[in-house]
Order: sequence, then C-alpha cells, then structure tokens
Amino acid sequence: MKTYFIENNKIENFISRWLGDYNVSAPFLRNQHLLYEPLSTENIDDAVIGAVRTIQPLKFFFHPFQERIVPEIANPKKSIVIGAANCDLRGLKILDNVFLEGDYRDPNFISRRQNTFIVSIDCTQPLSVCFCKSLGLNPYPEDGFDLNLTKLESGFVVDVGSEKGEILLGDKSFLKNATESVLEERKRIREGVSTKILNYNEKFHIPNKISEEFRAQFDSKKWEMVWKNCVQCGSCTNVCPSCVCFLLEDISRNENFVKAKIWDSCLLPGYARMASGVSPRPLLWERYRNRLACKYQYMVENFGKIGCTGCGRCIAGCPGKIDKRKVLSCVFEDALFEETGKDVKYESLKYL
Amino acid sequence: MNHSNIYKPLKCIVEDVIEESPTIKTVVLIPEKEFTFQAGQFISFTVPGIGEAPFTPSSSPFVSDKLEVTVMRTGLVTDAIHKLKKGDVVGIRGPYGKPYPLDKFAKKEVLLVGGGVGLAPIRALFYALIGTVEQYKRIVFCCGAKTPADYIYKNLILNEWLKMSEKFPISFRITVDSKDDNWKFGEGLVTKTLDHLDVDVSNSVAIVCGPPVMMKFVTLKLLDIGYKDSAIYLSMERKMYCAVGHCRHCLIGPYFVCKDGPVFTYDSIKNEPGVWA
Repeated sequence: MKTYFIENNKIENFISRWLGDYNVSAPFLRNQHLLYEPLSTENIDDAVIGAVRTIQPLKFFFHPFQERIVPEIANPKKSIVIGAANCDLRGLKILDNVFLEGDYRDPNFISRRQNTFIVSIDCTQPLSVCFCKSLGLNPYPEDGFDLNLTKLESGFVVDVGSEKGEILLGDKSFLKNATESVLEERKRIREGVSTKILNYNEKFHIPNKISEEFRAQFDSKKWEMVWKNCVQCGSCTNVCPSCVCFLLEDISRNENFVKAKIWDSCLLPGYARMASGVSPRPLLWERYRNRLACKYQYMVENFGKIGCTGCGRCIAGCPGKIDKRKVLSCVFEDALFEETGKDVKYESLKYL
Repeated sequence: MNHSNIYKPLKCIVEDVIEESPTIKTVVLIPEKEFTFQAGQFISFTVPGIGEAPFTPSSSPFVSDKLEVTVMRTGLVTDAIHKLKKGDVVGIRGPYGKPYPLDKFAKKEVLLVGGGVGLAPIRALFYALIGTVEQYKRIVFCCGAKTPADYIYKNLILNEWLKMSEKFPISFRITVDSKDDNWKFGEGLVTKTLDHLDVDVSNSVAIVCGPPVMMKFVTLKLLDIGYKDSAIYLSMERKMYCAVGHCRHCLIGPYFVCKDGPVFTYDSIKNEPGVWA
C-alpha cells in the first residue's frame, strides 16, 4: 500500500479538485453530531474530516432507505464519500456479502458500488458508545477503502487502498512522501485512540467467541428481561451499518413492472408475520433477541464474520436508552466466568 | 447496463382460473418464455400494482409452456390472485430454492403427507415421482382436508390417481377431518392415516406439506413411528420478499427458506427457534 502525507494548508485544494466531476459528501457538525452533507466550494471550510464516524451509516450511499429496483437505476453519477470510519467499512463488507457475493447480485448495488469512491478516516475522537475494540476491530481502516486519511497535528497521512484511490490522487502535486516521524505520530494516535475505546468499555464484557455463546445462551431467561425499554421504533436497524433487511413494493401501473426496495426492521411486529397472521416471533423480546442473534450468530454462520461492527449507533440512537453492551454483558456473564475465570457478576439488570 | 435484473418478473398471461375449494383457486399461467422448474422449487408471483408472494407451482415439472399455481386466499396478494381473470397479465420470478432431492429417494418407500393447500407442492412432486416411478420401491400418498368441499384436486386424485395403484406400486390413504354423506373415504385428521402404516421406516423417506400445525403433529407422529429426523422432509413457509437470500425475512435461525429451503429435513432445523410458527 502506498502512503503519502499532505499538509493542512493543502488538503482543501486536494479535495476541491474532486468537486464538479463527482458528487462529494463529507461530514459536518450539526447539533454536536457529524452528518454527511453534499460538499461544495462554499462549505468545504466547515467539513470535519478525520474525527469519528458520522450519524448516518455508510450504507445510506449504497443501500438507500428506498429506491426503485425494477427497472434498475441506470448509471448513477460518480460520487465520493469522505469520512467513513472502519466500523462503516466493516459494515459495507457485510453488504458486499449480501448484495454482491451470493448467487444473485443486486443491480443497483453493483452500479452504486462501482461508481462510488470511498475516502475513509482514522477515528481520532472516539465516542463513549464506540466499542469496536471489544469485537476485535480497530478504530482505523486497514482495507476496504480507496483512500484513507489520518489526521495528524500538521496534516493528513494518505493511504492508497485501490486503483480507484490512485485515480483520486491525480497528479500527486499536493502530496509528499510520508516520513518515519509522520508514521510514528500516526502509530501513537492509533494506540491512544484504541486505549481510549478500551477504557470506555472497561465495565462491559463481551465474550470472544460470541457466536458460539449466542447459540448456547439462546434460551436464557435473561432475554425476557433485557429488552424492556424497547419501543420497537426501528431506530437501531436504520442506523446500523450492516442491517440490510428490506421489503419489496410493487408499484406497477400497467404491464411494465415497477418495483421498489424499502428498508424494513426486524423489530417491527409485521416483519416476519405471514399472511395467515402467524409469526415466528410474535413477542417483542423474541424480536429483540433475533436482531442480536442475526448480528452475532446468524451472520457469522452466513458470512464468516460478526455483523456488528461496534459503531455504537444503535446505543446512541435508542430512545429507550438500551445499551447493547450492557445487554450482552448481562446475558453472557456466566459464559464470561468460564472464559476469563473472573467473576464479573455484572450488576447489569438494574441498569437495563 | 449489461446485468440482468434479478427482480424483473417474466410476464405471464392468465389462461384459466380453476376454483378448487371455497378458499383455494388454481391459476393457469402461460409464460412469455419457456419456464422450467423442479418439484419443490418455488416462484415469486407478482400481481402488478399489488405485490409479490412466493408459491410452489402445483403443475408438472415436465411441462415448460404452462404453469399452474394453487393459492389459498389469506391476504393482500392472494386476494388479488383470486380476482384474476383469463387474459390478465401477471409476473413470475424464479425458480428459487432447492428442489426435492429425488436421487435420495431412489430405491426407497416414499411417503407423501399433504394437508389442505399443502397438496399443491406435493402434486408437482407426485408428477415428478410418477415420471420416474421405477426408481422408487413404492409410493404411499396420505392426503387430508377439513371437509370434502375443501379437498383440492378432488377429481384428479379420486378419478385418475387412484387408478394408478392398479399399474404402479402406489397406495392412497385419503381422509377428511369431518365427512359428509357422500364421502366414501376415511374420516379423521391426516395424522390418523399414519396409523398402522405398513412401510419399512428404515428404508423410507417422508415428505410433509401442510399448515404449520399439521406439519408439527405429522412430524411428531413420524418420529414416533420410527422415522429418522433426516428422513423427514418439511416444506417450510416464511414471510418472504426477495426470494434470493438478500432481504433476510425468511430466516429460520441462520437458514434461508428461499435458498437453503424451502424443503428442509427435520434434523437440519429442529434446533432453530420458531420452527412450527
């Protein structure tokens, strides 16, 4: 992988070369949260690049809330997303597994994926809900990006992750080679951020072999308690970078078929209810458990990786203030005792 | 775009709508292009402007220019299907899912157990079995319905198929939950047809299709009789949209009804949650 350095006073010029040829989105601070918005020469000063993940997951750009699928979207404009964190890149891998790598390939997803360039970032200001480290992931990207930017004191480290990344670099006129001291500074930042996230999560205990534990604890009575603040709003599934569920709506007006895809949420009672009225998960706690089972067990069996990426959006976005880390710590406390020999006896239930 | 769109249905013209029972109709479709499937696979049926729902075709898998789908009226899409008339245009996608593994049934006694509209996929399977009948030791067909009026394919079964037992090693056990004065066959739940079953369970497979509660009790009875978990083939039903393993609505535990099923052996799903929903 090629690595460069770009000084702070050149980054604006570096990025503004992309405006015009591409639809560029970047994070902006809105009400103390980072939100993706279209980038232009007018607002480029205010973009926040290299802090932390945004409110919207990266899937918004590839698997939007609703879109026509028959006929498929033809040739979407080339676009660039700046500011995806590693949790989002991991989430996009799940979307790739679903929409690109099975026997059937989603036509819209293929073209959006081909036409979208990803400029990811290292997280330098993690949030208290971030827990990627608890799942064995890092707060900085290692692959899955076209370019990656790490914000340092005096500029950005630029990693080139793909041929598409090379295209974005252009003539390299703004770039310098990354020196030893630059890479040393990046290493220090990465270690510092990792430690910070570990500290945020010190009181939570998520087992290492969570998919196996999930099967073992599936019938735990605790599942009937941990969901109790859930109001089945579907917020957690909407903001999740790896939740893919959608429904199909037929909107044909004549003999030419027109269909749309719209996100669905497994928390909703109608999600799996069949026409007969029968549902495999009629109770809310069963649906809550199912969402986590999907992330921590089913996706592992389907794709060989955990669906959750530790972005913490479902924690931050829950109106019932359900902290998934507490839920998992509570359900798996016996398993953790086996694994660590430590009696964690997390007094979790009263907080749930 | 050079990718073919996986969601684009194949246009079909409705050739006929046959009333099978007060709540069940069979729609005969003429696809715009030749359409082939294997018994057990399913299609996604679009009624334009209304929606899509998955069904296993009930017609012979050896026929590719005509397709029959037997549908019970239960919801939005099935209601619209029941209102279809000759000449209407609809769409189908597929075939999806894994077919019945006929090669695994070879040299065995094949027990078919169908109830109500669950006879639809079994009819397609029966056509497939008849087409290769010399490969199986024998076929035992147990079928049931609530009342004689609810019996689908009644003429076909009672007038044509019953006669096949003269030519082929096929026997029928026919029942209704509650009979009327004209009914000449058995009375009782379909599980009752499994009493005194004279099959060699160690060399037999059982294929079950019907409402969830029927499948549950038939499975329990088959286990009781001595069938192995792995010899019981169940047609599973779930809410479904995409039919291609993307939308995740049809999961039974980690298994997709749309691509790992819709037919599962009981041993492969018995430990998953909500199997009999």
